[in-house]
Amino acid sequence: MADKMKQSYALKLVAGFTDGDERTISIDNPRSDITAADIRALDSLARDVIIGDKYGAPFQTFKDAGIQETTTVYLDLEETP
Amino acid sequence: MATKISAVLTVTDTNQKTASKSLTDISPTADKGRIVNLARALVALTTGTLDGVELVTKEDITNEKPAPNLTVTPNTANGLSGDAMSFQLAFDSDATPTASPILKGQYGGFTYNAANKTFNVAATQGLPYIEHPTTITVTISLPETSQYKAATATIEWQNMQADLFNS
Repeated sequence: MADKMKQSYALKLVAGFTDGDERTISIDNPRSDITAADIRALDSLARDVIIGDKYGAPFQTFKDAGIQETTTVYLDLEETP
Repeated sequence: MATKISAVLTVTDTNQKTASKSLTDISPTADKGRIVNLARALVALTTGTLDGVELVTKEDITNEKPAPNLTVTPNTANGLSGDAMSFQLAFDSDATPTASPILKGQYGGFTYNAANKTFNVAATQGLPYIEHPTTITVTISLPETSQYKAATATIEWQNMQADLFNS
């Protein structure tokens, strides 16, 4: 048995709040064809729904978005040295 | 104490595996329809499908402090005369209490003795005249400390011989 590699993807959305606070919302298995317009469309939906985690400030806008690729290597522990 | 509301999204991916995604810090005034719309829009950006949205409310009690078990009892009976009077306090806190009479400006001069946790009013302080019979309400306040919450307690006396307080 050899080591195994697995790749996973997550959409990272940086939400900005009116008090200057930011937090990142991570969503697994994003589509590969997400556009900036898709993210902009979320702004109006998130308003009055999510709040800042420090002082509960209202949501303002998604400041940044990106797809993060993570490669995990699963070591073969049964392999003899 | 902080109440935290989360929307837990149940999502099924293309491999028919079901997973939960927690969307934290939901506004307590958020409309449920808007929460679902946001959940749908977020999951629409993925390869999965939204099966359900559950709202979960949790109270963070990590920094919750106990109340200091404040009790106040009179050392002087109702119908007090011109003698000095006092209240006995009991509380499990290192805070210094304050006493504030409701009849501000007419009745005052409470002195706190930390050694025996009593508030005293000496008759020799020359208390101004109070109509009698008069119910005197005093509020004892303990400030918040690093270990205990703030607390208040009230105590009342019936003053039947107020003329003895004339200065």
